[in-house]
Amino acid sequence: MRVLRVLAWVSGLAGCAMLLYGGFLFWDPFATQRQHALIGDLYQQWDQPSQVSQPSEPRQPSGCTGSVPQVRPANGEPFALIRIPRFGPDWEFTIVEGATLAQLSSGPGHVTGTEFPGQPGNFAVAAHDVTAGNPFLHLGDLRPGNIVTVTTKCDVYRYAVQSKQVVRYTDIAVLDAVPGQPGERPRKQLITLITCTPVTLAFTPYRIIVTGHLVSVTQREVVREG
Amino acid sequence: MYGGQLPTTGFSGVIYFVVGLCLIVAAAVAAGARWLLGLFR
Repeated sequence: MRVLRVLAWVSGLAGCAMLLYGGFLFWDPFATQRQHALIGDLYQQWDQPSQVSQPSEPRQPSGCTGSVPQVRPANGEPFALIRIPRFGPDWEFTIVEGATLAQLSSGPGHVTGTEFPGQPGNFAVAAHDVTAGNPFLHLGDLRPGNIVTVTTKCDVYRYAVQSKQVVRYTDIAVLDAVPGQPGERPRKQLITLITCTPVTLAFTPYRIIVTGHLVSVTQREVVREG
Repeated sequence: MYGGQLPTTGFSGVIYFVVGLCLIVAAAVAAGARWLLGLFR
């Protein structure tokens, strides 16, 4: 009897603690703070002059000499900002390098091995639908023609959404430089946005894939205070 | 690339909900067993 009473109390308390911790992770109250810190880091990084320069390319006031990062960002390092006006005027996240669970816990992540913005091919970005600030919670609401903006140190890339599909998690052909055509030489500059679907707490084998193509590139305006 | 899979973007903390619920069920079973044993004493 005593053993059962202890077992009931210990299991009950541990179970409640686990549920509360799971709820804390799901709620993720510090996601906004982490994003603000990353955005601050990114602007600080952009304010520093480039370490490697190519004299043949035109220079911007920020020290930019090209659109593609001259050094591949380290895993977890922010290197771009993504904005999707349809999700609201304040919707803005940094894109970090890598798309493992650890990297996605801070926000959207660049799928390593796919191209960077400004390169011909496919720039793939994955993000959580829930937790980490719920970046891609409404990814399925995007419609053809909606604009996705990616800002790097030098340039602002505007992509127009062209298609949306649901695939299984094993369908990595969507990451090809020319989606679905491995080995094909890319001519267009595409963006692919990825998140789980449907929204659920459990594992889901399906991913929603939104693809867009580049419609314009402009230089990033460097605003300096003081 | 990610083990031949697309990145996993679901909620990674779901294990805490599962284990938590299992523990609460175990607590309920233990409490129920204790109550039943009490009835037959």
